[in-house]
Amino acid sequence: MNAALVATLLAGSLAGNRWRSGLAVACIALGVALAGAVHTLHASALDEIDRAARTLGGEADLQARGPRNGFDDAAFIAVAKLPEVAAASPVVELDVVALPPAAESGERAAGGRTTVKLLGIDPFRAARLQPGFLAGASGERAEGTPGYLDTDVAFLTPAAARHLGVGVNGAFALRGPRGDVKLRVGGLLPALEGGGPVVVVDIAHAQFAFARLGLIHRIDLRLAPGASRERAIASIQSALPPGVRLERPDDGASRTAGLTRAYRVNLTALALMALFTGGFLVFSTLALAAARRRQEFALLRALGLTAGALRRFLALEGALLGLAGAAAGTVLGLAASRAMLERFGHDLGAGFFSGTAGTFSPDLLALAAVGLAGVATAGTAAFAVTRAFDRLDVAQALKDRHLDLPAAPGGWSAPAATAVLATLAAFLPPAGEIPVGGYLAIVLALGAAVLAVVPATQVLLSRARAEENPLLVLATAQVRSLPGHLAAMVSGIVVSVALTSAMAIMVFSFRVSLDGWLQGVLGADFFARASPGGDAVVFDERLQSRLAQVPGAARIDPIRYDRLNLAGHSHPLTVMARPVTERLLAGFQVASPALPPKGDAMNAWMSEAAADLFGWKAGDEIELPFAGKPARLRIAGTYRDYARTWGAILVDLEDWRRHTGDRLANDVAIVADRSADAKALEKALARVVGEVPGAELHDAAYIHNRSLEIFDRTFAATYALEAAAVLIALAGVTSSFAALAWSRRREFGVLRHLGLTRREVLRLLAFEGAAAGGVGVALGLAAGAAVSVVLVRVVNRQSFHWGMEIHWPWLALGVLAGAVVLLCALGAAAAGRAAVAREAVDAVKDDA
Amino acid sequence: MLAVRGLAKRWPGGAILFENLDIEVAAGELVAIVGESGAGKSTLLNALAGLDRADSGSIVIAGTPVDALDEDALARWRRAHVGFVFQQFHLLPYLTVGENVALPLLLNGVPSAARAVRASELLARVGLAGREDRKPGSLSGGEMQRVAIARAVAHKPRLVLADEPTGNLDEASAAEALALLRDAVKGEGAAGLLVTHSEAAAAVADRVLRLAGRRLARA
Amino acid sequence: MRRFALLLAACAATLAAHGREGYAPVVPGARLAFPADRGSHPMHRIEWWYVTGHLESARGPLGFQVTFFRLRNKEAEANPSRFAPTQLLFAHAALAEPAHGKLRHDQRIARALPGLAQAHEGETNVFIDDWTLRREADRYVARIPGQGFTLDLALAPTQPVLLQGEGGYSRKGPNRAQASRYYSEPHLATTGTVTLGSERLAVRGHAWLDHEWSSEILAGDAVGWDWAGINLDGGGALMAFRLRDRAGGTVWAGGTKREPDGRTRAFREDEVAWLPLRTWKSPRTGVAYPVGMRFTAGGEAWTLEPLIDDQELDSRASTGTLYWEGAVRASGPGGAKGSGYLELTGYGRALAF
Repeated sequence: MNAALVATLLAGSLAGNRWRSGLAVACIALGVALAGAVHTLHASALDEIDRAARTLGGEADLQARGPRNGFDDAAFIAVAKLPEVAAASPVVELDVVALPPAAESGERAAGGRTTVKLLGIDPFRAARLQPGFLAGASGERAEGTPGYLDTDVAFLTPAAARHLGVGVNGAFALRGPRGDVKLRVGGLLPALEGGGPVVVVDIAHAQFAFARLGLIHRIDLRLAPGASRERAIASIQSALPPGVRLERPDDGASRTAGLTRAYRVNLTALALMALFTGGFLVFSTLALAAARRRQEFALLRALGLTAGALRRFLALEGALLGLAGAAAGTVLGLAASRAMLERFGHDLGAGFFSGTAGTFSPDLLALAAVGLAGVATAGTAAFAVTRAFDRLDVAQALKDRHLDLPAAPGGWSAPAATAVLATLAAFLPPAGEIPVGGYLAIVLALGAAVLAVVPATQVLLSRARAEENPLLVLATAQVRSLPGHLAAMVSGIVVSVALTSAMAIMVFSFRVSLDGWLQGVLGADFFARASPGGDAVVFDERLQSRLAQVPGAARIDPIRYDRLNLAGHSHPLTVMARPVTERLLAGFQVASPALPPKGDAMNAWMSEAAADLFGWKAGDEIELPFAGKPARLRIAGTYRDYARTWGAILVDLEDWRRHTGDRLANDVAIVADRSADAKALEKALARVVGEVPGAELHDAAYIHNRSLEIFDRTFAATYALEAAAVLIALAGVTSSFAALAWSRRREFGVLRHLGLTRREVLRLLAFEGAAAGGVGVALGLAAGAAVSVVLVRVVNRQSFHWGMEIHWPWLALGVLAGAVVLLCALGAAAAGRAAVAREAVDAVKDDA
Repeated sequence: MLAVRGLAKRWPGGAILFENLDIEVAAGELVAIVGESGAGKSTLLNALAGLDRADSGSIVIAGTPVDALDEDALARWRRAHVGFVFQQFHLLPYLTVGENVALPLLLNGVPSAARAVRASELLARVGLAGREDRKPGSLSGGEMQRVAIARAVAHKPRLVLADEPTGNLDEASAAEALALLRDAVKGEGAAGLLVTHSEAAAAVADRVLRLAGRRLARA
Repeated sequence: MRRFALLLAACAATLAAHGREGYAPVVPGARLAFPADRGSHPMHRIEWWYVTGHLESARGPLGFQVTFFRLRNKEAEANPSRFAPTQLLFAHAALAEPAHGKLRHDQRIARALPGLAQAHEGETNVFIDDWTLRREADRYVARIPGQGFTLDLALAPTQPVLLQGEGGYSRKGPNRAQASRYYSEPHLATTGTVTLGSERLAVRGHAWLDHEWSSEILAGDAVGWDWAGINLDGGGALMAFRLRDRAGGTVWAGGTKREPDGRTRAFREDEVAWLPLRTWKSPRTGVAYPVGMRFTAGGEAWTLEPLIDDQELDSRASTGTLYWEGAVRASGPGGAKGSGYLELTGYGRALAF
């Protein structure tokens, strides 16, 4: 097969197929773009985190990292004195809300605030690991400006300066627990450009101004040359309090990679589904084109072209479609991710990377892999089409232009077997945190539904009593004689309806479960948050008791959080300490909310995620480092926590305070007196809370609605992608009908000769479309229900560690079903309009 | 049965294709119209079937002024009263031979049992008894045209129009088909109009008219 | 005065902004008491221990200097944090080897933290991490593991302490409050090892230790100073300094000479004069230093010639300071010879006081 011939054939193919080819390319492009964008966003974010860790860590070999609330700073002196340590640098690290100059000068626009990382360092010690902390090193320090030791001076990375919109000598403020901490920019730290938005102040000032006296969060370390790494690590570890672990500076990025893996895999799976749908479209495009050109191909065969050459041509055509889709998708994905980075940062809509600046660094390898997947999908589809041409009877084809597409053999054994396999796969254990079995089950369930298309149609047709209605007779005869065409079209509908309905069911189930959970969890009337958007500000005991004394407040529940870095676990463990009551436990959906007796060990309840990730069981006694002291806990049960994905443990506030002596609170829940005037109470509470700058007071309804709002926003991208996938699939179905209608235009011409009106022909087509849509929707909904069960019970449980109940969004599913059937009917009729628009007289003459 | 008076048709550009055509065909009469390619034979046929509108003149079939009907009414009228035979047979590939023959009956709402009986009867008449359940693709060209002829008269139309019915057939099949067409027209008492460029085919007709120089004349 | 201003440059505004209130004053007439006054005086604003010397080694003559500064930052004393930078410590070490042609030097800077960086009271014991200078029984021990060189020296006094100025009260400006407490230990018999890369050299020589503390800021028109401390052959000791104004004129000057027999003469401000003989221009910074210098003290003229020209210390990257500090040979009246150190500061940009 020479190039000229291929070019001629391709030109013929594309000329007659522009619209459908375009759709197929669009669908593959969508899948490739989605997967590419997900990977690019993620790679950029990880790159950013990695770079920031390396930039800020400088020449550090190791970092000692403690819980989120910090550890005793005496540990620094013990570690720094060790002979194995060449240099050690203590770090206070807080997420703080920054008030840029405009907001600081009185104009407190809510939008003006931004979260930055605050580093409190000893510049002399930090500079031995990263000289870039000394502003003078880069000549960026303004002449005559003070150094770190002036308490009102901060040094900013260029990213922080951009974030805050301040320059050298500019003024800004950070929200601290003692009030706004006013700072002046002493200089920029251009050598720390890669460190992200960071405000650097002296460690003593950070401890004092942010009420963290005696606490540090990290020690960066360089080992003495010649020291044995293992021995050094052992002796450093023994100098550290419990709960502080040693890790490499770049462990941060790999830890983040671990945390986001599930989220990433799920988005990628969504992208692959789009590719899958694209594959169907490529298949039906090529198949219809091939059917249309069957006589042409038969002629070529008769003229001596081998079957293999023909197959190669079709494969090439598929690959070209795939390539076009992959190329367009890669460009689209890069553009989209770039735009998203510029607009939203690395957030991915789920808040994993908040606070990192948006640097664009695509992962070329991943992009290539995604692109190849697109080409491979198209190639596979093309290969499926070529199977039909192995059976091409040249003589017959020359005479008769009627060719069906290859379809799955009829009968129920194949779909039944696949469904059984899908069920079995759903019970496979996850690999790492990837629910491999779940995804396999989803693919198999979709496969079973697709395989069921032919037998299901056969059953429906055999039941159809349509002997008297000429339109029904013609329609059923048409679909009965072309099961392959039907299967291809219906399969597309099945897949997209299945995926859409499955996502709809899952999201709805999650939303209803979350709604119910929130109702239980928000057992108070008001909530005060000390530090929304950061963790620098806390409520001290004085403020807590003042809240308790507000007239009309029946009870307050101070809530204290910490986040532990446990050795041997890549996931942080959140500790939530608050007064534990039976009511609270019931709200958190603990199976048996009765309070267990107090024993030697603290009672603790673990979240479902903690059970999965840390392998604890109810009744276990475990030891956790609380505030640098080992605490013994007895797991009393499991609670549900939709707010903290990576595992959390709930203990009673009194136990926590007794053990740690820490009497601060991040949040305070306030239960109103039943007789209290809610408005007056809120006002009085707000006055007290307002003394803590930046702290917020909200009522339960606000929190409830806000949580659901955030939920909806998180899933907005999913909804949009789903809608796009469905629209493309429907467009594909419509274009299939169009192609089919076009190939049937002589038939329509004959029918018009025989006395059918144009309207009747269109009605015939609409009926066929609705019938195909109906079969597709029925099978799609069945498959979607199965897939949603897998998503809820297997995928979510294994990758997000959330338990939830299935709730059926009947209305949404009904609308979806109706819309798809209607759109199929309208699409088919619209597609047929062109075919009957021509004069019947010409149609019967047309030899094409 | 068919009465055409003063029929005229222009090309889209305005040039006259034919004018002042008068045709009378009685029930049971088969009339052939011959002429060179491009003389307007097919256009005339389409105008008679109501698929194309003439520019002037009147067409009355069995007392119905066809040219006065709107498009839907024309379609319904055609469904009930006109049978077609095409050069390329135009059997629906996804219907069986029997269903193809019974297609006009189906469109006219004849119950399926009656349809089957009528189809079998007609298939027997065109020498294809017992082939009801075959698909058209398995038939030879001559056989397909015989099925088409059976379909054209299945619903006892007033008018049977045949456009070059032998164009795609060999000599023997053509003769056979023409004989069947003639028999069918006579047997059903329809007015038959056969358009062909073949003098040999025209010979089967009761009368032959020649369309030439915009006018119709007795051959 | 030494590198008073080095630290002022590092912490300039802190000091400039907060004046002298709350710092222990330097008053004339108070007697120095040893060993307590060998230790730190944390209530004073600034203090330094400063060792310079000449060594003989298998690789030839070497010059070395080891300095520890302490700076009190009163502003930070309100902060109860362990890390509050109430006392800052700064150390500098340099090694001059004529064969090497340029200076090896390194520095440490830290806030005082118990066990990590401290200047003890009661006896000389000052350290920043693994850099230490302390008195052990009858001698000082200095251990300085620097980048590219390590000094490990024992320095034994061979003479009584030399009290500078009026019994240890040393004026630094026209205002009597502009003064410091200042004593020296010349002719310290020095032994130990100097490690250059992987080469350990046994060394022997003599050194000079200055210990000085003050709370007062210098006269406002001074931009830099010249200082020399010379161990004279035969056991004498000579120290001279001046503070320069922008035009190169003398703002204040002073010095001391002790004869081998112990007779000591303190020079008045008008008895010391300096005259540059030869300048060397740094190829790195373009700054010209009068490395060949003549001064007269009490009518005696002394000529200083550096061991090597390039003894410039460029610490602008870490502490923002730039100066010349070098081992010199001295020749004086009647063929008198000596060896010591010359310090030239403020020849680049003016240091901020």
